[in-house]
Amino acid sequence: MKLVKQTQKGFQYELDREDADSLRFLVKQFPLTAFSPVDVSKTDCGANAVEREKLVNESLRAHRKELKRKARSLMLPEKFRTLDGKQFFRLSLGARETMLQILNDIRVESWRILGEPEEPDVNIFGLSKEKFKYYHFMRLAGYFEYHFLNLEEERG
Amino acid sequence: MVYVTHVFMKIFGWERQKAEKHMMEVHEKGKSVLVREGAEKAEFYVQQLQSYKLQATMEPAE
Repeated sequence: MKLVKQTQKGFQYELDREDADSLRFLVKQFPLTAFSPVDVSKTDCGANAVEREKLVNESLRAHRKELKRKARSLMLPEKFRTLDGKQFFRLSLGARETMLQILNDIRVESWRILGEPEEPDVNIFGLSKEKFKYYHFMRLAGYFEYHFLNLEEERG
Repeated sequence: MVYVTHVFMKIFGWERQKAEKHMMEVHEKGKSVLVREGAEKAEFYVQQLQSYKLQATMEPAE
């Protein structure tokens, strides 16, 4: 995976076929789990805090639903262009933020399904076939997340 | 870790150095106090951080 063009509007990446297929496959998995409400405060249990938590969770639920719609449009065939056997993938600045949110959601939810392990403790040979799938998703999402961000940094 | 730094820069508009300082605090201590704001603004930041799947809460000032 290589960043080939960066403008004020967005990015163009060159992916080999394997990476392009993996990215399409991974993003199609989103969301891995149903939305689960978050705690907005650890210490504040007042009436305002309860109402606040409700509002934040409503907003997050709607946001995740919107991410699901965007995940489909990010992976439309026209987003990828093939030239000389290489695949080029374009992302606007906003679309890259969407992509990062989708990838991190997949990574975090996979990690939770695996029992929130410290990474070195994951004995992949001890994982069931089902859990190995989530281990693979977690690693793959981390790989793309890292590259979508680091390639930009490498170019300065 | 580069993801957390990126999200802090994006949401709070911080320079990389400040974002990395807070990211390292999260990495080493498990948490970092990011901003001190009124309830409405704090709620907005919590929602933004959670939308990037970063665990964030808002607590009343001591």
